[in-house]
Amino acid sequence: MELLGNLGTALVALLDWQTILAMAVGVVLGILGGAMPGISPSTAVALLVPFSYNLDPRLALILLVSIYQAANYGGAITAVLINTPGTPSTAATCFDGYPLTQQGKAGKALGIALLTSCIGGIFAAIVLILFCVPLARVALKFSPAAYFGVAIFGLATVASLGGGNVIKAIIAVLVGLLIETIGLDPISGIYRFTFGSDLLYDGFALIPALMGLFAVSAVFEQFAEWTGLDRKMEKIDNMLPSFKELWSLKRVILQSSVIGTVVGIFPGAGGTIASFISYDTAKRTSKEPEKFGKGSLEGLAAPETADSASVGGALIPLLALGIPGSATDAVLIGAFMLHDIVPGPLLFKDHPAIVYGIFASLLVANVLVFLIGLYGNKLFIKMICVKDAVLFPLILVVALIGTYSVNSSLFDVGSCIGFGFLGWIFKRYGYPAAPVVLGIVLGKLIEYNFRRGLIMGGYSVFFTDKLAFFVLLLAMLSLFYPLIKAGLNRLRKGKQS
Amino acid sequence: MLALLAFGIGVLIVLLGIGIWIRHSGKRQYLGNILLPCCLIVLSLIFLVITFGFRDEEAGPALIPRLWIYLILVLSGITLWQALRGRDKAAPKIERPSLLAMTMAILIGYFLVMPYIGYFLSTFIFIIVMLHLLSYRKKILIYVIAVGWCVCSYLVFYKLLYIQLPLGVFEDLFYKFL
Repeated sequence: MELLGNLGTALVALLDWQTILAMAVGVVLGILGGAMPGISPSTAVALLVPFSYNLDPRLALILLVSIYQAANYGGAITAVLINTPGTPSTAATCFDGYPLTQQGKAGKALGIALLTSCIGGIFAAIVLILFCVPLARVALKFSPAAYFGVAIFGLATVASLGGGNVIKAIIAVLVGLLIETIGLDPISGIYRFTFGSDLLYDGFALIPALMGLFAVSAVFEQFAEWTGLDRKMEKIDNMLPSFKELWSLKRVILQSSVIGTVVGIFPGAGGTIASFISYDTAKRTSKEPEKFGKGSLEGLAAPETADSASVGGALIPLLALGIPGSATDAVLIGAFMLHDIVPGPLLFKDHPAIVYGIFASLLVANVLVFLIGLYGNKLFIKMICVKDAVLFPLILVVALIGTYSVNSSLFDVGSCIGFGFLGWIFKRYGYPAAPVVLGIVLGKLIEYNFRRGLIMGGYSVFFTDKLAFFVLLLAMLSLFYPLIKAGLNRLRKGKQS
Repeated sequence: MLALLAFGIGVLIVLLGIGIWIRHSGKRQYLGNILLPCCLIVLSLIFLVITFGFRDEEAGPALIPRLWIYLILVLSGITLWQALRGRDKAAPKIERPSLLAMTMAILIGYFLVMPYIGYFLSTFIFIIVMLHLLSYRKKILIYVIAVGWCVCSYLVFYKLLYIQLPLGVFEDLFYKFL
C-alpha cells in the first residue's frame, strides 16, 4: 500500500511542466543519440551528465533515465533503415528489420520496433517497481563484508564488456580501481599517488573519466576509420502495424519482455545479450522459424522488446544495491554521485521522491517514446543525416565544455582528454573502456567496505558471514565463468582432435 | 623523487628498446599488443614502489592498491605472453593516421590555448579548423556553425547556468561589452 501511495504521489509530481519537459527532452535526445551510429546509450547519457549538474537532482535523474530508455529505440531506426545498429544492443534488430525495409515495409518495421520497445519498457518498469523496494529492504541488513561481496558481484559486468577477451576486461577494471585509489584515502586520511601535486588531492573526478572514456575516445575511433561518407536513409510510409499483426505477436512480446527484464537484472548481461537470447528463443518457439532473417515480424519484435525491457531490469540492482548492471548504469551512478546521492538501499529512505520519481518517469517515458517516435520519426531521420564532419567536432566541444562546467576546472578538461587517449588506446588493443569506468565507480565502495569488514572482524569475517561468503562465491563464479567456460571448451576441443 | 625519475627514464629506454626490437622482428603487427601490457607493468611497479611509503597496517592505505597492482601485474604478464606468442588479436590498421594525429594535436592545442585566448575564441578556431580538416565543403556554413556554437554556449553556459568560462586576455573586454 505504501508503495502504491508513493508511486501515486510520484505520478502526480510528474504532471509538473518542468518534469514533462525534462522527460520529453530526454526522449528526443535519447532517440537521436541511440540512432547515431558511433554514439552508444552510455555515450549519450555521459554527454548529458554534466549539464544536469545545475538541475534539481530529481529532474536531472529523470532526464538521464529518459535518455537511457529512449536510446534503445533510437538504435533501431538505423538498424531497420540502413542495416547499421545505432547501439550494440540493436544488432539483432537488423536481422529482420532491414529485410522488411528492402521489401518496402520500412514504416511498418519501425512501427513494430517502436510499439514493442514501449511495451517491453513498460513491462520492465512494472517489475522494477514491484521488486526494487523489497530487495532494498533486504540490502539494508547487509554487513560491510556482504556489501563488499555485492560490489565485487557488480564487477561481474566486465565479463560481458570484454568483447571476447575477459582477461583484458579484468585488467581494464583493475586500472579503473587503481585510478580510484589516487587522492585522499577515506579511512586513514593520507594522500596516495598524488606525486606531490595538489591537483590530485581529490583524485580524478568521475565526469572527465566518463567524458573521455566514452565520448572523446569514440570520436578518435571514428576518425581512425574515417570515410567521410554521408548516411542516406529510406523514406518511410505509414508507421503503425494493424491490430491483427500486433495481436499475432503477443506471445513473442510477453516472452521477450520476461527474458529482457530477467537478463537485465544480472550485472554484466545487458541489452545486447538479452536481445540475442530473445531472438534465438523466439526463433526456436516460432511456428514459422523459416521466416526469421527474411523479414519476420516476430524476429523484429523479439530483440526490440527484450532490449527495451533490459533497461528496467538493469535499474533494479542499481537502485536497490547501488551496483551497475551495464555500462550506462555505471554512467548513471556517476550522475547520482554528481548530485551527492549514493544509489543503494538507503536511497529509498533518504530520497524517496527521487526513486519513486524515476519509477514513475520510466512508465511515462515509454509512452512519450511512443508518441514522440510516432510523430517525430521523419524529423529524426533528417537529423540523423547530419554530416559526421559537423557532428564529431561538436561532440568534442560538448565533452570538453561539459567537463569544465562541473568544477570550472581546466585540470578536469586535461584529464578528460587524457582519458580519451587512454580509452582509444585501450579499445584499439582489445581492452574495453567501459570497465575502467566501472572500476572508478565501484572502487570506493569496494575498498571502504573491505577495509571496514577487516577492521570489524579480520579476514575470517568474509567466511563466517554466510551472506558475505555466498555473495562473494557468486561474484567469483560470475567473474571467472567465461574463463572457466573457455578453458573447458579448449579441453573438449583438444579431446576431440 | 630523483630515484623515481631515474627509474622512469630507465624504463622508457627499455620500452624504446623493446619497441625497436619488435619492429625489426616478425612480430611487428603486435607492437601495440606487446607495448601496452609492458607499460601497464611498468606503471604498476612505480605505484607498487610508492605504496611502500604508506603506513603498514592490516587494513591500511596500502592494502587495496597493492591488491589491484598484483592482479594487474599477473594479468598483464599473461597478455604479454599471449602477444609474444602471437595468440593475441592484432589491432586493425588505422585508415587515416594523419587525420587522427592531426585531430589529437589540434585537441591538445585547443586545450593549451584556452586559458590564454579564452573559451569563445579558441572554440571558434577549433571548430573552423576541424571542419576544414574533415573537408566540409560548405565554407560559409563552417563559420555559421562556429559562430552559432559560440553564441549558444554564451547563452546557455554563461547566461543561463552562470558558469565562468575561461576568458583569457579578453576578460576585461568581455566584461565591458557583455
